[in-house]
Amino acid sequence: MVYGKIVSFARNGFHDGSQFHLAYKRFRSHRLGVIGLVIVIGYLFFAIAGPIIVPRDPTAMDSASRLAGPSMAHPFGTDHYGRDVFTRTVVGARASLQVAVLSVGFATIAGVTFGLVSGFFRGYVDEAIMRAVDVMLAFPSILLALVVIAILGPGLNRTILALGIAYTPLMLRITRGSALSVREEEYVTAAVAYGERSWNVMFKEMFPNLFPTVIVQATITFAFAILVEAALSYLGLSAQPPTVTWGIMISEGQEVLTVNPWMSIFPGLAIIVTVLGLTFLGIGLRDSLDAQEDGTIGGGFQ
Amino acid sequence: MSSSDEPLLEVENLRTEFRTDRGTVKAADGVSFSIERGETYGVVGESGAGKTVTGLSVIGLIDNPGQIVGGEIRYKGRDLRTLSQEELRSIRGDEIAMIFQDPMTALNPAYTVGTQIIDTILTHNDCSKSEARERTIKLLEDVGIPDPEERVDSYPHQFSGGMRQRALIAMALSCDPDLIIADEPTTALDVTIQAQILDLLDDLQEKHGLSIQLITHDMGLVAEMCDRVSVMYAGKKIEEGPVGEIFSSPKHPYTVGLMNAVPRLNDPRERLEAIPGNMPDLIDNPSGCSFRPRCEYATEECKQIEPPLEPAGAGGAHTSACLKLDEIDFDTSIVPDRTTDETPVEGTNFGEPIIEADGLQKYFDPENQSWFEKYLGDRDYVHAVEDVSLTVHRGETLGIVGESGCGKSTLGRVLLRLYEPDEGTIVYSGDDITEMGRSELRNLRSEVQMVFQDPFSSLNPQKTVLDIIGRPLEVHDQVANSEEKRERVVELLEDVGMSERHLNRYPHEFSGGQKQRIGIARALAVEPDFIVADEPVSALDVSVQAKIINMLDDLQEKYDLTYLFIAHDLNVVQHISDHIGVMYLGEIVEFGTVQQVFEPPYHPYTEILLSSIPKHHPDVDEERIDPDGELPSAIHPPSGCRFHTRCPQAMPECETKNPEQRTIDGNHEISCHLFDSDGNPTDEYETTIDVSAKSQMVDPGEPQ
Repeated sequence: MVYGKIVSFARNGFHDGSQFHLAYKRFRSHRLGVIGLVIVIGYLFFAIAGPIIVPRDPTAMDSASRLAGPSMAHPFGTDHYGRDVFTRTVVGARASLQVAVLSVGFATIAGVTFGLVSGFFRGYVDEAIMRAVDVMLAFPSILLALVVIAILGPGLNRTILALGIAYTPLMLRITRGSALSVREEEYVTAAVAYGERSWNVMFKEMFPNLFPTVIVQATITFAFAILVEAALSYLGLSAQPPTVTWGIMISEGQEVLTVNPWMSIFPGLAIIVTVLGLTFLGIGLRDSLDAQEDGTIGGGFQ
Repeated sequence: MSSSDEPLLEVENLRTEFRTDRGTVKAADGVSFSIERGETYGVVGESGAGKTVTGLSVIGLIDNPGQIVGGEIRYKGRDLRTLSQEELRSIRGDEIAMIFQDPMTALNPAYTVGTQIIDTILTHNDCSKSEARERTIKLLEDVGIPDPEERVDSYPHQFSGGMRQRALIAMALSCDPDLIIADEPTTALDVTIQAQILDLLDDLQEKHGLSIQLITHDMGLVAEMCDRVSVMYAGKKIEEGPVGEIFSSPKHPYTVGLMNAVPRLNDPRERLEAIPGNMPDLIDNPSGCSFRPRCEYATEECKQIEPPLEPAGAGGAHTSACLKLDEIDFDTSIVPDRTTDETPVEGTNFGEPIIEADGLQKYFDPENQSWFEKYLGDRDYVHAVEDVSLTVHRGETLGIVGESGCGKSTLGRVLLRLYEPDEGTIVYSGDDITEMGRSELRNLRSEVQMVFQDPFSSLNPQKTVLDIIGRPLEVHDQVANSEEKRERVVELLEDVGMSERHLNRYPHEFSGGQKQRIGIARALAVEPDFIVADEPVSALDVSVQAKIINMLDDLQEKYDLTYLFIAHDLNVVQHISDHIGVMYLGEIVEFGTVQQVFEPPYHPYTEILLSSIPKHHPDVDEERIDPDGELPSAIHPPSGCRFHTRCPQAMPECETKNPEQRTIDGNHEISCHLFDSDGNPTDEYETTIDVSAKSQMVDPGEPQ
C-alpha cells in the first residue's frame, strides 16, 4: 500500500524541474555511472533472459570434450563433466540476482520502515530500535548469515533470508541517520501542524527526501550481496548443485585449477565485472543525486 | 612608495563574473570606490547585489567558476591584480584581513582558538612561538575575551557565538592589518551581542588606526558605524556619499525605497513602503538602468541609457546613478516618522480570548547527554519554557521578542502542541488542548496553523506548489476532488500575491520571498483562526520583508486572523503587534501593549534590547547600555531573577529571590525587583534611554 505511493511519487518525481529530473541530467554526463549502468543492464539481461537464450543446456554433459580451454564451440571452455562454461556462467547470473534482489529488497523495506519510525518518533522508540541494531551490528554480516544457515541448513532461500536479515541494520542505520536530519526540516513540522498522520509524514514527506540515500546504499549493498552469495555457495552453504551459481562453479573449478584454470576464471570475472558495475552505478547515483558522502556507504563485511 | 594622502585602497571599474550553465553572472559590474586611511566605508545592498563578491575580489579570494575580468585594485599604490599568488598571500592577513559572517564555521573545530591565531601570526611574522602565544593572549584580551590566558587553549565549540566572533576579530588583528574587510560581521548574532561587537570594532579602529570596509544589508549598521557608504544594486554601485548626506537626502529611488522599507520604532505603523518587484537576475540584466523595472519614476529614457554616477548635492562627495536626479523630489518621498502627539490606537478592544495558556513548562534533554546518563545518572534538562502564562485575544497580534535561545520558538510550538508541554494548560476557544486525544488534536490542526522562519527548509523540495498547499485540504477533507483542490489552491495563491502559473513548479524555482508566500498560503489553506508565525521575515531582505509584513496585515484583516508573532527584531515586532511579550531564558519578563513596553518604565532587559537596536540615522546621538556577557545556559539557569547575571541594575536580592510579576498599569506587567507591589518603580530604578529620541529622524529639509 505504502509502496504503491512510492510508484506515484516516482511518476511525479520526473516532472520537468524536479530534483530527479536534474539528477537524471547530471547522471547522463557521469561517465563512470553510465558505464556501471550499461554493465548492470547487461547483467540483468543475462540473469533474466539467460536460460532462454543460451544455446545449450547448462547441465548437458559432453564426455568428448572435458576440461577444454576456450574455443569457437566453447568460448569459455568446458568443465570436468564437459559442460559448457559459457552457458553455465550466463545461467549462474540468475541465482545471484535472485539472492541479491530478494535479500536487498527485504533489507530495504524493513530497514527503511524501521529507520523512518526511529528517526521520526525519536526518544524511546529510537532508543529501543537502535539498541537492537547495535546487537546485530556487533556480528559481521557474513557471520550472521552463517549463523542463520547453521540453524536452518543450506539453500538458496535460506541465503536470501540470512542476507536480508544481515543487511537490514545497515539500511536501517543509514535511513535513520538521514531521517533524523530531515526530521528537523520545517516542512516536516508543517505537515504535523496541519494534521498529517504520522505514517503519511514519514512516507509522503520524509521518504522522498531520503530516497537518494536509500537508493545509493541499496545499490552498493546489492554488490555486496552478490559477493557474499558467491562466497556462501563456494563454501557449499547456499544453493546446492545442480543449481548453477558462480560460487559453485569456482569451487568446482578449484579442484582442477592446474589443469583448466578457465573453469574458475570466467565465473570469477563475471563476479568482478558485475560487482564493479554495481559499484560504478552506485557512485554515479550518489554523485548525481547528491547524497551524503558521510562514509557510511559500503562496508558489507564489517 | 606611497604618499600618505592617497587612498589606502582604490578599486576602479572592477568586473567580476561567474560562468554558470545558464550564462555569465556579472556579480560586480564596473564597481569603483576608494577607502581612505582610518575610514569606515560601508557597502550596503540586498542579497545578490554583489557586495560580498566585491569584498572577496579585493583580496583575490574569487574561486572558480568566478573570475575577475577587468578593472584595477590598487592597495597602497600597488595593483593587487598583477601580484603573484605568493605576494598576494603576504598581503592577505598581514595588510588586509577579513572577518566573515558566520563565526560558527569560520574557525576550525579541530584546533584550539589560540593555535589558529598563533599560526596566523607565525605565517606573517618572524617570531618565536612563545612570542606569538603572548601576542595572542594580548589580542584576546584586547577583544574582550575574559581570562585570555586560559581561553587561549579552548576549542571553538567551547566559545559562544559572540566570543567566536571576537576571536575572529583577534585573528584579523593579529598581524596589524591596515584594512579589515568585515562581511556581515554581526548578522548571525543577537542584537545585544551585535551591539557589543560594534563597540569593539569602533574601539579597535580608533586604537589601531584601521580602515574598515563594512559589508552589510542593514542600514542601521551603516548609520551606526560608517563614514561613507555606497549602495549597491545588481552588481553596480548606484549611490555613494557621506553617511549623513545619504541618510538625510538620498538621491536614488532605490536608496529611498530601502530606507522606507525598514520598519522603525515609532514609524507611523501603517503600511510599509515596499519596493515592487525583485532584483533582476544578474545574467540578463535589463538594458539601461537596472533598477528601472522596479522604479516608479522610470521612463523610456531609463531603458536606453545606463545612468552614469553623477554628483548629487553640494561638495561633490555624494554621487548617484540616476537619470532623473534633478526631476525627482527626493525629500517628499521619504516617509516621515510619526510625530509624538499622534498616539496609536490602544489595543484594548479585541475579542474574547482565543488562547489562554497557564503555567506552561517545557524541558528538553540536553543534546550531549548519553542515554546512560539520561536513564541512570543525574538528569539535566534544558529549561526552554519555564512557567509562562499568556492570553491571546481574537483578532490581535501578540509579539514575542527575545534573544535566540530564550525559548520563544519553543513557546510557539508548545502552544500548538507540536511539542508536548511538561506542565500547564492551554485553552483554545474554551477547550483544553493539552487534554485532547489524537483525533481531536487532528481537528484542531485545521484551526491553528504555523508559518515558519526558513523559507528554504519549510517547503518539501520534492513536491510541487499544488501538492504543498493542497495537502492540508486533503487531510481535512475540505476538497472533494482534484479539480476542487486545484481551484482552491489557485485562490490561495492569489491571496498571497502569486498566480496559477506557479502551480506545478518546485520550491527551488522560487525566491525566498515567494517561498515564504507559499508557506503562508499553506498555513491559510485550512482557514485557521490562529497562526503562530515563527520569525517569518527574518531570513528575507528588507524590501521583501516589507511586502510580507504588509501581506500578513492584509490577510489578518481579510480573514479575521489572530497572530502570535515571534521575532528577534524589535522594529518588526512593534510594527505588527498589538501586545508584546519580552522573553528571557524561558520566562516572560515584560508584557503589555506596544506603547507600554516601548516607553518607560521598562524591565531592565527590555531597556537593553531597545538600546541595542542600531540607530537609524547617523546624526542621532544616544547612549547604549550593554548587558554583561551573553545569555546563560538554560541547563542551569541562574538562581533568583534569571537576568541578574547580566543586569546593570542588579541588587543582592535578585540573586536569591525570583521576582513576582508586578502590574504597572492596566495590563502592563513586569517581573522585576525594581518595582514594588503596587507596580511603582522603587528608588533604585533608573532609566537612561528614551526611544523617541532614538528614532527621531533629522528633518530631511534641514542641512547639517
